[in-house]
Amino acid sequence: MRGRCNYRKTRIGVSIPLFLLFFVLFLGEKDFTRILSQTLLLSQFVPSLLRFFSDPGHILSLGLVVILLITFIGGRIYCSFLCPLGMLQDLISWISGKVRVKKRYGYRKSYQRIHLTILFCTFMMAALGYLTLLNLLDPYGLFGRISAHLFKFVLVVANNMAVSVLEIFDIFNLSIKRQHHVSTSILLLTAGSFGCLLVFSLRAGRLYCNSICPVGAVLGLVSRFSLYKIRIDKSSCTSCNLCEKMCKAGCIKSNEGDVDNTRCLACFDCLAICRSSSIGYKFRLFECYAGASPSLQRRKFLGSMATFFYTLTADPLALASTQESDLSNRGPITPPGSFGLQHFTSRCSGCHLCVSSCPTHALVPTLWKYGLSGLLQPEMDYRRGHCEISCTTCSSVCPTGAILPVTRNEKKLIQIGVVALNKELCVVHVKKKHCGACGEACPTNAIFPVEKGRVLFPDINNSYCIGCGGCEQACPTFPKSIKVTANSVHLKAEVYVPPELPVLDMDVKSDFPF
Amino acid sequence: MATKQHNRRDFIKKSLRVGFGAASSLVLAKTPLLFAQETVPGVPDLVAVKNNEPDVLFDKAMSLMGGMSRFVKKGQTVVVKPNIGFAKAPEMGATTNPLLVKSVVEHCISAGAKKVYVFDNVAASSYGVAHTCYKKSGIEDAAKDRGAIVAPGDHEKYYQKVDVPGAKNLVSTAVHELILEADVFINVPVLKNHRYTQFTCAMKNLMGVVWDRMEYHYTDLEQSIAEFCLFKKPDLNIVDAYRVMLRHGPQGNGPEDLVLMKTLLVAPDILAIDTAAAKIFGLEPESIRYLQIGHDLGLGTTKLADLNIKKFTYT
Repeated sequence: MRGRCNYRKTRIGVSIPLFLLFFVLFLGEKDFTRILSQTLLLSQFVPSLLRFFSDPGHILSLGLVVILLITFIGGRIYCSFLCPLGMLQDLISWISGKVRVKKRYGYRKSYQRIHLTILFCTFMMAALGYLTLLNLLDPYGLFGRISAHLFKFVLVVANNMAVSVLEIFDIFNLSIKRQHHVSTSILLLTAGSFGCLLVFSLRAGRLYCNSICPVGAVLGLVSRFSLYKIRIDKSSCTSCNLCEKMCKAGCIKSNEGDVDNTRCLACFDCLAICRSSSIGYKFRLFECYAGASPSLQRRKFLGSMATFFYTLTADPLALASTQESDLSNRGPITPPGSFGLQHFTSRCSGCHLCVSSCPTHALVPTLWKYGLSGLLQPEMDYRRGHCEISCTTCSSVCPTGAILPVTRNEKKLIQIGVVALNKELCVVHVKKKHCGACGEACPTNAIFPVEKGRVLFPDINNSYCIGCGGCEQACPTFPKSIKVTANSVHLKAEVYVPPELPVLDMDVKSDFPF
Repeated sequence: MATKQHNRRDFIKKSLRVGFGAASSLVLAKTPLLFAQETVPGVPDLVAVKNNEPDVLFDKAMSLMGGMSRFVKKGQTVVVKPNIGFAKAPEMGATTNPLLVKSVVEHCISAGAKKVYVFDNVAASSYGVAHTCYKKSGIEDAAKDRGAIVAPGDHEKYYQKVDVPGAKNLVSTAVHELILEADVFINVPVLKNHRYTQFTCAMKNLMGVVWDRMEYHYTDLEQSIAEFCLFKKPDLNIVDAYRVMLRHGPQGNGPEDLVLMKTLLVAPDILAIDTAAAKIFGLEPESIRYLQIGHDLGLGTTKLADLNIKKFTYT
């Protein structure tokens, strides 16, 4: 019996450090996030899935295969060992168990019909180019948003309080942090989903995972055929009901000795609690759970999967049409490395890791600026920060391939947009006084002064402009006189070649001119 | 013969001024303005040295100036304001030479300063840039190495609203609390090209002690630069003209924009030092608008010929 408890101990031993790492990841501290995103995110289903379709050769897409394989062998181990949202729900249940009387669950009827319908809709929409439901329900993205917008905020406040105290003693090792900008609608959406999750996990354990989560639904379909399964040995079972009460998935019918493997999360709590050692995690080939058999849904699902495969490899038409309407006015600016609107919107799952780790807070989440198909995808917003020319953070942390890695030198020439000056607002044009705020901020010499009647006017050469928004951010007028407009397909800027330096007759040995 | 006469006239002029200065400082004791403006025998108004490394130049300049103890008294707190405006390496000449900052801090500490603070409100106001600038310029490490406290300037909470007396443009502005609280204020700008104000040096460097530099840009850049000195002038200005950016300022496009001048200027008078720096830079001081406004506001002198200037060139 003790030996079998090791399964549960292993789960706890793996998931606690992993959860902490996921938490640190979404704090967006540049160095940690960069390292963690390249290792930790290998284990996430939806990012790997999106990667798999866009770039099958990438190491991150390997994760998908590994996860499906693990599920086929051992059931939904992913849900208990690797999913940060699952761990968060376990944590909530654990804390509530410590605070209140130990929570007891019980067998719940399967919501498989609803669950598979949600999965079907999610994948059908994704196949048509609408990532709406996927972005909304993906457990990794959901955890990311909760972590970045809610948990990080608490830490930022705590940090700033600590800074205020340490400053009194002239200790400036910590510095004031600012929370990245999140619009009220997204904050409400995130808080709302966290609230739902809280209620779900307090009242019914892992109900989210077994009735809504699309990843849970896919893995449930696989785990039905898994090689290792939890089984109750009816001969030794004393029908004490402990396992049923312990099961946060509500998938054990102890009086009948039945375990619904499509819903079992492989948490191994039942193994640890069973006094008569009647529950085993054993190799069972070709032994499927014979509960509700959703043959119709399965057929539908397989059909949708086929469509999904097809449409993601061939560029979805639906997406192209939504882009054209966006192009008519100033469309959202996508970050360098995303190649443009189409590449970005068809791959971003809205986890907001880039938003949390953007050092200048130029990346801001949007609700539906990309249309409903691109729900929660972020854009470059230069009102608060600009895109620092030598920074490649977002491209190095993105797990889905929406923003692909670029080197510093490549990034310096990626033109994500160009600038336009509104002379009716510009200080120099209106007041005929020097300003130079935009020119001072421009890192590529796209903005340069032109003298007219002893006044230096800003002028623009957009072939050097990379659309970093340094000028827009610096411009002192309100509304801004200089603004970046998006390139729907990113272009390459020209390298600025300075004119020949006039010959300097600056003799260092010569005397001072005074 | 003519030159001799000229020298003699100068000598008389100077002696008279010294006499007047000494007399008036006896009468009007405890007036720091006079101390900074008037010539004390043997102590120059401006020191210019060249042809050596920044720290060696500074040691020489301070010995010619009469030592840092002239400016920093035992137990005083000092704030050093270098130009850390951009996230560029020292070799790019966009920021003050870290070796010079190190040396300045060292001099302050050995003069008996209780605390030496170093800070700048960097040019880009995007979140997180200040940290990169502090690091990449090498100034944070250099200053900390010699015992300075590197203070942040990237949050509004460190700034306090003040009125600027006699200003018609920059009537009030929010100034960093260290500038308001420290006993001694040392300005350590880097001399470089600025495409919209012709050049940037001591006066322009003071844009980094206010919170909202964009109000300068929005109202009248050059008028505001000059008017800030009505509120507070540094007690000492140290101009780094070691690597001088001649074009594409204030950021610079690359090392090809720089010329190695290996020069250092030290003066208490901010207008005089900017005038001297403009001349070194190859500009006519009369053509720089904020120097003219500064002259009209009576911030100091632009007439270098009237000053006691000590020059030294390493060979």
